[in-house]
Amino acid sequence: MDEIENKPFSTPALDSPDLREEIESLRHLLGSILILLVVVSGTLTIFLLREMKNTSAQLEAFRPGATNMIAVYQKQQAPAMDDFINKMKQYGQTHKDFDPILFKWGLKTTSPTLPGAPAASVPPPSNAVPKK
Amino acid sequence: MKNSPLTTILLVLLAISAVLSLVFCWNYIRKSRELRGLQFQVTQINQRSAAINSLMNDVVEYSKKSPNRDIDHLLESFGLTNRPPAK
Repeated sequence: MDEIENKPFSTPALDSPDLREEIESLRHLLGSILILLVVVSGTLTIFLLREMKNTSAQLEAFRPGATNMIAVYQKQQAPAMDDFINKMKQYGQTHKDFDPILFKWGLKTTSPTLPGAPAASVPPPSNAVPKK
Repeated sequence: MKNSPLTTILLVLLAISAVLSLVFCWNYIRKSRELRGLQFQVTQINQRSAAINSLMNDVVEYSKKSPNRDIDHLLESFGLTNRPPAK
């Protein structure tokens, strides 16, 4: 009875060959898993590097033209377009026969005052001029 | 407990790879976002230009059907005219 109390079952001897074998086995397993993880992680890293390089090249090719285009649009085209639209709206206020065009392009939303105006049924197109 | 050198090397490699993955992923997301933003703006500009061109065509057609001085003057101020070129 004393012998059993002094040597619990859950504490095997540290120098037991079975335990050493198990530790070696676990060490091999850990090494294998680490190698696998390094391979997977390296593959992901290389993939992300290539994607980043591709996107970077696309951006460098696209950026100068796009920046120039946006600058020209903001400085010259957009004000001219807005001016044109405003002039058309002003013209439409005094010329009711112009309403169909205004309705078509979504520049006028209220119903026409002239009875039987054909444009009232024309829906605005999906690519109507975006309003600022 | 003694660590084997192979395990240490593999752990270091794994850490380096993970950090590089994060850096590349962050850069990729940043550049993709910038590229998409530029593409979106260019598409918007093109669509608006096309719509304005169509509107101008409609106005020119209108001015042909209902000629009057006001619309002619308006079109001329924007460099548009429905008159045939002088011979």
